[in-house]
Amino acid sequence: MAAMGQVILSQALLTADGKDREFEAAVREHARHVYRVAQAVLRNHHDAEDTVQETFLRFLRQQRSWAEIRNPRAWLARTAWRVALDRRRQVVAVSLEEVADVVGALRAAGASAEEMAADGQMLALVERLIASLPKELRDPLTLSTVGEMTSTDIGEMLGIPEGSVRERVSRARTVLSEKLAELLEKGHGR
Amino acid sequence: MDDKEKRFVDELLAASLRHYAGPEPRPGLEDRVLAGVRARQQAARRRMAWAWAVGMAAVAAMVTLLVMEWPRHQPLPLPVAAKTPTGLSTPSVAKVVSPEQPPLPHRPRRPAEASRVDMRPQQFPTPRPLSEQEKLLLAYMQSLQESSAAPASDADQDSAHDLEIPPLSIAAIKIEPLPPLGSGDEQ
Repeated sequence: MAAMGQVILSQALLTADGKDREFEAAVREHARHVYRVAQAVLRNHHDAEDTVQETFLRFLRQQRSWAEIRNPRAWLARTAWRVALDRRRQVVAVSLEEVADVVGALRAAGASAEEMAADGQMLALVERLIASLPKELRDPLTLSTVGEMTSTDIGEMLGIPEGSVRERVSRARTVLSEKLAELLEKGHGR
Repeated sequence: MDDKEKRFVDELLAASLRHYAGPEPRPGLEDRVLAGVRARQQAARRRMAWAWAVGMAAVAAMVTLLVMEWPRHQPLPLPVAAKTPTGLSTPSVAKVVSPEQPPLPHRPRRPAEASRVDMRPQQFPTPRPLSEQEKLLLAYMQSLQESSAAPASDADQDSAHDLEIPPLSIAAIKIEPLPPLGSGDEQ
């Protein structure tokens, strides 16, 4: 009886140890990808890290059904996406006219597109423009900014076909481009 | 908008979207995540352990209370009224009840009964000075006992004298002889 108990205990410890190592491996392999998904939604380093922790905690709680998770990377990205959407705060309202003035001034000074994009005001402007998009365009575009995510991954995450992802991202870019051009013209005209 | 302007806007948008993805995470992200997850897991386990401990303590307290209270709900085998007079601490009264009555056979107590008796106070009700009426009753009972005890012995002695019986004198029995068989009486 005692021997049987020892066998069960040692097996349980081995299983727990194995699960722990498996979990650590998953964190080391996918943490950065999960972080990028969270960062794309939240636009904040601290919130993104908190989201990564919450995502992996949920993954750990699901350890009994790890065998059923076909693609851990996609599962983690999807969970991080949902957690981040729950945490997302209201985008800080910036004055589009003021931003357009700053961007127009940069362009007048001869700054390249890359230099202008690196400016904080330009980032705030793009953030505001993306937030103004309808959800069906905003979500695919946001995920497309995350490196390493293909249209297939995005489609699987959002539950839409891969072709729809491409079409929506293209439409979102067109809308953004038009709005940006309009703002630049206003800024240039002043 | 000319083509040059349009191309510039497209380049600007593409560069902005690249920057939109945000900076790479700071070094040590994986270690921070592992440490944070394990700390939160341990905190959750501690909370669970506390919840179990509190729950078990509550259950134990309820069981203890139930065990302590359970016998009180059962009827007592001894009549309470029989014990009430002894509570007045009047031993003389107890003697008056019936001196000739044979003492009750000692009955061994059952364990449950013993525990019930143990739980009661040693003297019930709580001792207190006798009221005026109780004192009068006590005095009456004592006088009654004395008056009934003293004449009883005198009466016994008198009755012993009255019942002295004089010696009986019984005359000797005389038996006459029977007539012989076959005499003239048969005719």
